[in-house]
Amino acid sequence: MKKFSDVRKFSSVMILLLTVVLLSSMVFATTTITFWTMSLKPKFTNYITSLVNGYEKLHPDVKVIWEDIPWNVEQQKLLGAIASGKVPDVVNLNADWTLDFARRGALLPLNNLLPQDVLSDYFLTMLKATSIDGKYYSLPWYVAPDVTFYNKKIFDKAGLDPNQPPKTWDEAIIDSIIIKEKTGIYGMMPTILQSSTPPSFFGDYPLLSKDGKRAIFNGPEYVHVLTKWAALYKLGYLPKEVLGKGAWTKSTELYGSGQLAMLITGPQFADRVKWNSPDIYKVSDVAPVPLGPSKTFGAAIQDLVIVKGSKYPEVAANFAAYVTNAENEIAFDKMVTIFPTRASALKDPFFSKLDGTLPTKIRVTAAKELSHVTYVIYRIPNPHELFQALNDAVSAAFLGVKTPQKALDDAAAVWNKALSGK
Amino acid sequence: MDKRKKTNYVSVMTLMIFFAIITTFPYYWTLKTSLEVSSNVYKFPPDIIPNPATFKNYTVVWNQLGLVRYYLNSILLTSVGVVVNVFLAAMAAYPLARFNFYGKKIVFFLILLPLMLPFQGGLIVNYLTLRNMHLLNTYTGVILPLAVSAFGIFLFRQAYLGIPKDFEDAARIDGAGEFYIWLRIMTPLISPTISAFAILQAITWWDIFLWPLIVLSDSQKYPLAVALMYLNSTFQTNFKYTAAGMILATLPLIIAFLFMQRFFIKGLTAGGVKY
Amino acid sequence: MAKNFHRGLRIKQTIIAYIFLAIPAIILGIFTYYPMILGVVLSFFRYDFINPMKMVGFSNYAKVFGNWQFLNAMKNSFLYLLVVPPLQLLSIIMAILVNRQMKGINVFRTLYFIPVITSMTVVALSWNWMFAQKGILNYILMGLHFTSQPIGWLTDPKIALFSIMFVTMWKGLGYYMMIYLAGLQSIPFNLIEAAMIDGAKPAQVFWKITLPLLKPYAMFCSVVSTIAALNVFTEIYVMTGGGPYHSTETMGVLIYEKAFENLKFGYSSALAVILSLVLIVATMMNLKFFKEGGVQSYYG
Repeated sequence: MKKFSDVRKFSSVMILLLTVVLLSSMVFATTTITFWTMSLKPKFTNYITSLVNGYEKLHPDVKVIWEDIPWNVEQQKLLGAIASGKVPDVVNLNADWTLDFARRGALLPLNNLLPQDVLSDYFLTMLKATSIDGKYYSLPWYVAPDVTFYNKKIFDKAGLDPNQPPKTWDEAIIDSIIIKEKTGIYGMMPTILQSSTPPSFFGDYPLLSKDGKRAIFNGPEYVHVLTKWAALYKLGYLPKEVLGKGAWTKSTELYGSGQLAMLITGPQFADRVKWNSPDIYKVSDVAPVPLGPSKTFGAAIQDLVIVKGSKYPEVAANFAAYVTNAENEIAFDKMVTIFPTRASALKDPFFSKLDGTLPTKIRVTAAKELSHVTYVIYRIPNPHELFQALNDAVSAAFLGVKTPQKALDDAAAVWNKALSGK
Repeated sequence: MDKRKKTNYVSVMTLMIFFAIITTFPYYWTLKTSLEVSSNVYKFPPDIIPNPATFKNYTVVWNQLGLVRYYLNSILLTSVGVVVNVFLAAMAAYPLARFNFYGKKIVFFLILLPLMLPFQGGLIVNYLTLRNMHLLNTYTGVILPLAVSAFGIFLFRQAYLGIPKDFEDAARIDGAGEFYIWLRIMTPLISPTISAFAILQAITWWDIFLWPLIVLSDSQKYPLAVALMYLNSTFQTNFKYTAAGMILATLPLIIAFLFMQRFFIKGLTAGGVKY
Repeated sequence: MAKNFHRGLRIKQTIIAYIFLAIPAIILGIFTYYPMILGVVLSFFRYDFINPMKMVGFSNYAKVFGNWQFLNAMKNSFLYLLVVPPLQLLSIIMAILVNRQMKGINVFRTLYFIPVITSMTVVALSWNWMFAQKGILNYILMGLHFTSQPIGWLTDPKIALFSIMFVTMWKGLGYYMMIYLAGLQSIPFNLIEAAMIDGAKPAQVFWKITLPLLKPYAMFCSVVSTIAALNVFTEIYVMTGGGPYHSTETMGVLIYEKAFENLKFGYSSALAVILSLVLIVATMMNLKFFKEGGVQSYYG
């Protein structure tokens, strides 16, 4: 008798357990997606966590796992993930890396994953920046057009009017020479060498012939510009670190130590000056970035991509659109000086109303510049290697290893060889 | 005679102090940077002594990064890594020293070979292997590819060679099995060498950076050096914080070594380290 | 009869030996040899990790000839080889200095060893700051009037590589010192005593007795430092990334770059194979150069 009741007890427990498991799997039938960001911890841990929680609340059947990756290893980690077949669904990259991965077929286009009215709110130039043949491979998240952040005290000391920062690159060059001569402090340290865009002073000029088949940057105007900047370097008016690794953060470090008069970079670096060197921040002011003849310049876009091999691309795209919706973008942009990537968000008076304080002035100045920003996409094979060749040409000219003409000729030869399809 | 001894002493001391300054100055500089108040690292002329000095950078780094977790991770990883390496190296070295067997020379050469090869190739392949074994994001996955040290095998082989045959002969006559002989008799006899090797391994495991970064995806599992990497990329333009992080990461190992250095030197001397 | 006995014993020992070797051998096989072989195989393909592999025969190797970046990297690696391993002999001097019974000698020994303990990333970062144009090193040198212009330790392509070599040596000398110290202490004192009684001067003792007896230790240090010099990577990557203008780009850095920045894993594997060949040759040369010597070689 006892044995029989034992069996009944056992089986009823099992049935109960089974029911619980079944019920819970129905309730918690979850889609899990993985979300990678680039170096946002620890400063923005709370913000991203709130984004994730907010989305999960709206979509109780979705679970978002958030991982923050240091920017300097993100590419390797993504590669490793792709190779292993277990990919994150939504990844935060910059426009350059996005194009790189898109070219290699590692990303999914968003055209089919989101409705047209959602896509059309993003700035078209930004969507186009990471598009190939009309397919958009990322949702732009935030953008940071450069501004000129300058130290009024140094300007004063050099005899320059602190309310008249340079408006063009030629003026910036002259100011830098004056500042170095009068105070011994470097005038500027623009980020000349970039990894997948042309050197900064070529930003105004097309690199390829109109049919895209030949490199034309060894023509006379280009040689002239390179010679001008190489002379600046040789004569000691540009810091020697401008050719080195990590130059773009070096400039912020130098500025924050009072070793640089003008910091020409994204406004989020101005924030770093505020956090790290408040005394320098106090004597700083902001102006639009110097412009070249074309009156346009490039800017850094951070975006979200959907990786090919994601198990839930629609959910991933939906989450990416949520992160980059107007409300969330505005909230993010209020924490640090970056800018939205969609028209509806830019309408917020936060980006246009001055209130007399420096942070607001920085923000409004940069927001105004958004209209000057262009995104030129280079349809070239192996962009890493080709831009490396161009950077090498600049380095060689700066260091006097080659004449500017020869340096550019050699780089053009590399480009032409690649463009001819070898 | 006395005068020459004195000048000898002075010149030796001068040379030693000179080397000591070169060795320790970077640490002083980093320490000083971590105690500074404002971003004066590139100030020219630089401050030799921080004035005013503050511990604020340490508290910021400690709180922002939750360093306790990473210390614990590193301690765990280091302990297991060292034990596994010592055990496996001793196990492999023993037959190479005490047995005469077919293929001994080939085995010896095969162990030497990987020492001579660059490391980058292994990274990706091992990552994929771990994935197939479902060992990604685990400490096992971090330790396993690095569990056998050819250097350790050589070191222990040399040490085993130095033990007179009488010990194992006596044990064999008493009927002990080979494994027992190895574990309970021969290995304890080379404990100075084991200490020296363990200390070197501990250093490697405490500082290890690239491999755990690739294998582990859960940032809560990262060891200290990887957490420091985060620190550097996040606080990139504020080196006071980076400097504080560097001191916090390095100091425990230095203190630990101060206690261990007697065993270390003894171990190197006793075991003999040559081929 | 005796021959059978010995063979039987040998077979028994073989079985036991391989039981001992089993676990380490399996681990080495999976995580060391398999990647090695795969690396060689991969060098005949083109692979970017995202798209399938494409067989290209020897073209990765052919691309190497006449390639400026490759030749430059080989040149830099050879420079490293010519400078750093020979200089490791300086540690002998350090070892002699600390090989004395003196109160507090252990303090010096520990201080010299501390760079070895520190992770290379920390070391490279510290020296980065010290080497800056407006860093402490230039400040001291200009203050002492050794130079009037700040020296571009890491920005002048002519000297950047040597600055990094200095960092490699700074971090490594303590390690070799400890090994040479062990070597010095293994020399039986009666040998030295006997020589001095016979009237030998300290210098003669050093050259004729000490150095020869240190030979096996020198061989070890030479082999280790040669391999380290050809493999050097972290300090270069952290401090200059191979710049300026590829002046600090060694083979180790190039292999990493081609793989992880240009996504050319096939080409990178070919470079790795070439570097391996150089490494093997260099190691063999080291072994040949330092013929066996020393007191304990009798018992080897």
